[in-house]
Amino acid sequence: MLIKSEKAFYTYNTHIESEGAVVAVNGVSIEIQRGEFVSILGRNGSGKSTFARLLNALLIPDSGTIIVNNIDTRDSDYIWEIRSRIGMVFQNPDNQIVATSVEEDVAFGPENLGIEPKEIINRVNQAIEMVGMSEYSNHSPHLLSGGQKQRVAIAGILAMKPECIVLDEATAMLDPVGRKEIINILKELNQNEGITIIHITHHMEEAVKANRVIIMESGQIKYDGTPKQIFSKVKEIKGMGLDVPQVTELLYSLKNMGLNINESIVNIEDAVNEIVKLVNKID
Amino acid sequence: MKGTPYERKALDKISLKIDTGSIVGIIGHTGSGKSTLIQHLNGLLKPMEGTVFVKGINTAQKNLKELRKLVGLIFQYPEHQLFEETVFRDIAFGLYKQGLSDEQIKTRVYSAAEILSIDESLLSKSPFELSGGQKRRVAIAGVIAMRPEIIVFDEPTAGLDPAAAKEVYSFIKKIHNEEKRTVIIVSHSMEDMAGIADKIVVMNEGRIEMVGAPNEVFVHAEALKGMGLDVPQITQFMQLLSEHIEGVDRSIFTVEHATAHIYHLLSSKKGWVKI
Repeated sequence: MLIKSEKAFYTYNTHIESEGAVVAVNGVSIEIQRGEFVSILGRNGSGKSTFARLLNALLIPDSGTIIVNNIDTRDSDYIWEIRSRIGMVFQNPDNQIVATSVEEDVAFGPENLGIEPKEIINRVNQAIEMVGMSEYSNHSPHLLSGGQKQRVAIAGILAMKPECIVLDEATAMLDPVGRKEIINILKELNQNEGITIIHITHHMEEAVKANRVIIMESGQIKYDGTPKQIFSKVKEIKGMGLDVPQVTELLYSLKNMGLNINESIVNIEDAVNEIVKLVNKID
Repeated sequence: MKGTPYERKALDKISLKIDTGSIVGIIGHTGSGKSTLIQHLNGLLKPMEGTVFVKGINTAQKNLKELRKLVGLIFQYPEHQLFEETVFRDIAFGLYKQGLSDEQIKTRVYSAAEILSIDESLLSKSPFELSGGQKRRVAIAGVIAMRPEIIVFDEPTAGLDPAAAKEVYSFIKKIHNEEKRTVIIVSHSMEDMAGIADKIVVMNEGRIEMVGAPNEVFVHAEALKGMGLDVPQITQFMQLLSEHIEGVDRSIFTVEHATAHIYHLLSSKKGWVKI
């Protein structure tokens, strides 16, 4: 097991009297295995980002424990060990650039881990290749597109040989092309390199690419299951202010109109097959 | 950057007419020229060649006061521009500059707050105490309070969760329908634009590639994909379904419409028995 959260709580003090303290993470118990691809969904303020920050000890739970790789995140002696294992990509691509060339930017992490220069060069080249940015390695990062910047940010984590990448709405500011680029890379890293992916997003079409979907509400885990299990709860998900894929909604509505149809479908091809099957039955 | 290796044509011979009272979606991938185009609408940028007229005002003229009153521009993440001590003062900021009386300012702030469902009790709070969705509404209210006839939104729902995004679109619809403003929205999201715009402008590499009603534009799924854009999932579904079943409408872009269409298709079959 890679991550184990046990009854984790985290409270922000707002310094505003009328509001008092805000419990952002309210008793989360969950296990994440090596090699999983998890999407976390939830409304703004549901505690997703706070929970993500608990995973690599950017925040320490007020009570309860977070265990990463058998290390308790409260153990400050191992904080750098945890952070080199679990890398984070944040929302705004422009806030994560530290150097004047792509290469240097990617080298920043391993340099700080005190790795030998020769090994750093190897790792940097490899990481840049893994995100498909080799032809840009001498470019200045600030002239890249948003999606390319996020790929550089991912490469910076890869150069530290992580076990897990946590993306906190890292696709929110990207256009459809940029978002697809990132999702494809995450899929590859997950399947080919066995890297665990935890992807926080508002985009349902991204969430359906994961093996597991977790939905948070008011600091707690409300649903946890495969995309099909989760998104077939159309009424509940919509009631929480979230969306389901359009084809799932379509099949759900048809079922409610009395058709004998399987509504736990999340992609276009399966949905077409389901309708074709129905038509053949009628004919 | 003219005359340097970074010089790039952001807009290339754009000819476009936008009707008073319409609600137009401008779609294109990053770098297609959308944001450059809208900055021409209130004279923030001026065309190097050609002309832009807004209600008879040439945007190239020196005095832009009238034009800026006419066109309200709401940038991406407008809440980053909140800075005043109270929500009231933030919404009123532009009005103070217009030399209105305190009474007029108050009326306008209250009506803008009402349009955007900002509770009166929030007006005395600091904008920094509000949630993300509330902050965005306050920032939009600041522009609405100026009562521009044309309101331009650049990615109005970026970073919001689906429910908050729907809320913002319902306010935009309200501003359009009840306040009778002309609305221009820049977006990446075809699905969102399908639900709100009566005309869609597709931009690519500084040029306008398509203009039309949503169903006219979304039929060209392949061309849109080639420009790095996506058609709504439901439209992709209908188009794939039409390859297997006869009589499927390839231009449908809302779930409600698709549901009715497929139900009708099935129930008109010979062997139809309601299950």
